[in-house]
Amino acid sequence: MSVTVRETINFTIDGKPATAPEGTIILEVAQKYGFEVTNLCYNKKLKPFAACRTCMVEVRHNGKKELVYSCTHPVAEGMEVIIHTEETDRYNSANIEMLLVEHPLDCPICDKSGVCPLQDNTELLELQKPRFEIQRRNEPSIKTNPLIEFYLNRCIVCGLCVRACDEIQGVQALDFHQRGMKASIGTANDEPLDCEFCGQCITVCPTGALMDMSSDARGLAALFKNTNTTCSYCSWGCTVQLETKKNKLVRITADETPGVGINEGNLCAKGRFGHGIVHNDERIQSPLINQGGTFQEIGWDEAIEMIAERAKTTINRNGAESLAGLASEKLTNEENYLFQKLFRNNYGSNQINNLQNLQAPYVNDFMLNCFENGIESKPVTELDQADVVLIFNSDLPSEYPVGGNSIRKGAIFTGTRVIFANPRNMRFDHESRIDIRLIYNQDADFMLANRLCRILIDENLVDTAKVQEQIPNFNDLVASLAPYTADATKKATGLTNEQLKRTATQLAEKADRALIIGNDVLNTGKGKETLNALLNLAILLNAGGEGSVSIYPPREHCNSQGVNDMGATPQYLPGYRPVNDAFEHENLADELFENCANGKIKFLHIAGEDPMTSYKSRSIVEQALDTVPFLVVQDIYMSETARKANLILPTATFAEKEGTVTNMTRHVQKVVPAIPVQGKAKSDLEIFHNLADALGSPFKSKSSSDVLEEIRQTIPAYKDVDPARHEQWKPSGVTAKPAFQICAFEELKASKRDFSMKLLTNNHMFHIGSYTHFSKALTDIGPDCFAEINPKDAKKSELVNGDTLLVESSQANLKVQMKINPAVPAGMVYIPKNWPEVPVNALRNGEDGTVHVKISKSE
Amino acid sequence: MFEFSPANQKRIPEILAKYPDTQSALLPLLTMAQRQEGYVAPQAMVEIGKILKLSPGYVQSVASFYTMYHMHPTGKYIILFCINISCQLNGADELLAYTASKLNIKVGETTADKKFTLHREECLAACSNAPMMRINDTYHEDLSKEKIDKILDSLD
Ligand code: SF4
Ligand code: SF4
Ligand code: SF4
Ligand code: FES
Ligand code: FES
Repeated sequence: MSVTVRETINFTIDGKPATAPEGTIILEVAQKYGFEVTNLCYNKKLKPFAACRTCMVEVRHNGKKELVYSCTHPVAEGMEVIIHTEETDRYNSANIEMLLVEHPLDCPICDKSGVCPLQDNTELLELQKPRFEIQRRNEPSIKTNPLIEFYLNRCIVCGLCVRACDEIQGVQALDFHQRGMKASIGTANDEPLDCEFCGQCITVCPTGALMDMSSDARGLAALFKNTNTTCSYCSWGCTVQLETKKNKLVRITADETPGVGINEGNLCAKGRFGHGIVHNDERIQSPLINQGGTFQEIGWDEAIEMIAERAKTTINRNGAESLAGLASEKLTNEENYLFQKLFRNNYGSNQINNLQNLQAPYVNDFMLNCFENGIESKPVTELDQADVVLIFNSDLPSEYPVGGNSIRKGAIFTGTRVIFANPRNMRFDHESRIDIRLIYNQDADFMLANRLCRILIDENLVDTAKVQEQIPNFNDLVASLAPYTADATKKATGLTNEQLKRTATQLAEKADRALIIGNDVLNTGKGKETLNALLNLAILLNAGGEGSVSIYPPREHCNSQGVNDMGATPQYLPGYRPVNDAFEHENLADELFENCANGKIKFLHIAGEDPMTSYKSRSIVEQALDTVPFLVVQDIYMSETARKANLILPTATFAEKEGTVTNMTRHVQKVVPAIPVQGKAKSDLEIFHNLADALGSPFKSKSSSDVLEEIRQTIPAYKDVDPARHEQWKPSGVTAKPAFQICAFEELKASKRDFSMKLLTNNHMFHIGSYTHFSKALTDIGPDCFAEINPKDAKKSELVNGDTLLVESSQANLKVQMKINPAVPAGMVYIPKNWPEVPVNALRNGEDGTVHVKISKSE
Repeated sequence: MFEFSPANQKRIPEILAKYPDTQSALLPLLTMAQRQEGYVAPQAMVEIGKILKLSPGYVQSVASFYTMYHMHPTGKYIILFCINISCQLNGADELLAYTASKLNIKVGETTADKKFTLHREECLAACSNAPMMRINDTYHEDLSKEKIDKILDSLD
């Protein structure tokens, strides 16, 4: 919630008393109170606009009667609102009638039919016989981009798409053309749409003018079955509506109904168009056994039996500690819970981990430290009410696109001030009153964060006496901040002290602040130090400032949070209970791949992960998988990891399974099956149940809901969360231990002379992980991998757009097409990590932190 | 490619300085581009968008809203023929048709020799001397066929 208090206004609607904060427009309140008001160009997420003139209501105020447009007119104290009068109906009807003069009325073949506001409003006003002469437009449909069809004969020029693209998405790809009778919408110069393909424009369009071409079945939305479930891609956790017809997923849409999901009906390209992974012939069709390098189909029973047998003999021969499991940031909580239970209870092994915890184990500690210091993460549904948002090293439009939507909405309605800190000068357009851009040198994150802490203290921007009183080790913090002088920070970050002072001042003002931390932080080699510095910053603001601080930790995939909550880590049992002495054996899972490569681990079970492409360093995974005597991989697609397995099990996609996932801000949300499990695949949950059966010690649980019940018993924080209501789990039983996290100062490492460029890699805007490649719609809009470099570096190496770049590290080299992007700083090569043919993780040698490379033109 | 001429380049900062919000300089810059090239080319809209941090789509929406910005190459002389109420009552329709046939083009077109472009226009606020047309920056009022002949013939 914002710290700005808005006065409460009292008024009536159709005689019923109502209240709303000052400035609220009539239509918004009326809908909230359940009144139906005709409207075609209004959307709660967008600024008042009043294009369609169909929302007229009567208001009586101070003894005066007025006819006003309810989508732009604010409520006032003592106002009486009357929604339908003979007069308002007459005006509203006339405007719809005029729209219908041009409208094709081809509803039977329209994608919006049945969920069409134009139909609904026409019906609401009981319009039947047209009074005006029909004058249809007959323009051909525009299909010049791969995903969105423009059939503008149906367009009523309400401007919703234009405004959504601008205000919510910050893109401005669509706009009005001409005016009056000729007005229409389109792209600049009618060029093919080339945008973020979020599809927000399709959702908000009140007619079938904009349509999703990625769908197999078109027309008559009302005939499809809708299932609301949680997106399986990034950690924002949007609710997606799966539309199915005869047990086939035909398209994904967004439901804007309030309370459905945390995303207000916003989605991104991946979430909306990435459904091609579900019905796909390239899915693994049957359990497969590796026989001398070729895979042969085998039956499920045989496969499960084989794993159980192998597990038993390995335990007998090498001890339970030689069995390890890699849980998944993409499986449900229930599945991950059972997987760790299989290892801990059935095998007696604590060697279980997940990729995030392997690469950045400190993220969990960071979260727990936040709890101990009383730093909360408010529900993301409140992000649009934050007064200040610091986006710290996150390219939000690629990383959490829908997070960007909430912040832009906040900028419009709450006046959220946005501070954007990133080594790349990435686009993040919004209407914030203040936009501080801190474009700093790569890897200098911790310098920047620590300097901000120091400025808060040095400049007395926070009440240091209060801080000292509350946080015992304040003096240690002060001492540890000594090296972060203005000069040292300038040298390391490239930022002036004035810029940082302005930022610190902005942060210190009384405000509700949100701090969103991007996953790039984890790749700097100083992830832990950076997170600690940001935590200290939050503690300073919380203890010594007014308002609140919320922190959103870096989590990548749909269940990166949940897999850790479920205890799929060697440090923590479910619910972050320390493992301590529960297992006597050595912890091999912390260095999972190293311990496979050195022969200590004899049995590795990978569930739904492809570490060959998604672990930071490829060579060690390759060694590990080649060495480990028995490798079983269960996945949807034949990943590079699966190719190395002894046994492969085909699993179900998110559209076929039941369970819950937990997003980056700990909202526990439902995964609901929309179609049956396809082909011979099984859900991961069923596989784990089958395995326990085969081991002779079946789980008590039978279904996903049984497992959730068990989770609720085991993890107190999950006890009362209702996944249907998108609730957050709140830390329970945490003892407050206020303390700054002190880190020793260490200078930034300079680039080595022969490898003078630094590599950065993360997910592409249209891709995440390794599944999106199987979605045709996403490869249509994001077909090729491009490395991006600064114009200066391009000039130095005589490179031009489209050249093939040779990128070399001390470990390996790769070739990739390149393009010049001034947003990438000089000295950096950015390569998205989602193309199997461009294995960016192969470039890393054993070292942690940023990979140093050199580039040249490949002949 | 479109580029503002060096003289126009120099004027850009002066124009921007007039407004608290750079976006407000959109109309003056569009006008400047049109004066330079005779019309507002797609590339010019991209360029202006860059200067003002607006997308080309937005620039085009504003430019295409106004009938006085020309989005296609025009002739040397742009005739804006008023067809609004006062002019119409005084015979504008017929005179417009006359002008079009004299130039041997349809309304909206440019003559083959690129000399004249003919457009309809709404009221140009010279109703007291209707019918009227505007050629480039000059108003020609109280029109008749003879007067139109004379005016058009006098232009080279
Ligand atoms: S898909 Fe998104 S970015 Fe593209 S035009 Fe529509 S709203 Fe704009
Ligand atoms: S395309 Fe749809 S949303 Fe856009 S202006 Fe037309 S009717 Fe409105
Ligand atoms: S932002 Fe994330 S959760 Fe939302 S639709 Fe996109 S990928 Fe899915
Ligand atoms: S909804 Fe109010 S004018 Fe369109
Ligand atoms: S109507 Fe022609 S100038 Fe006014």
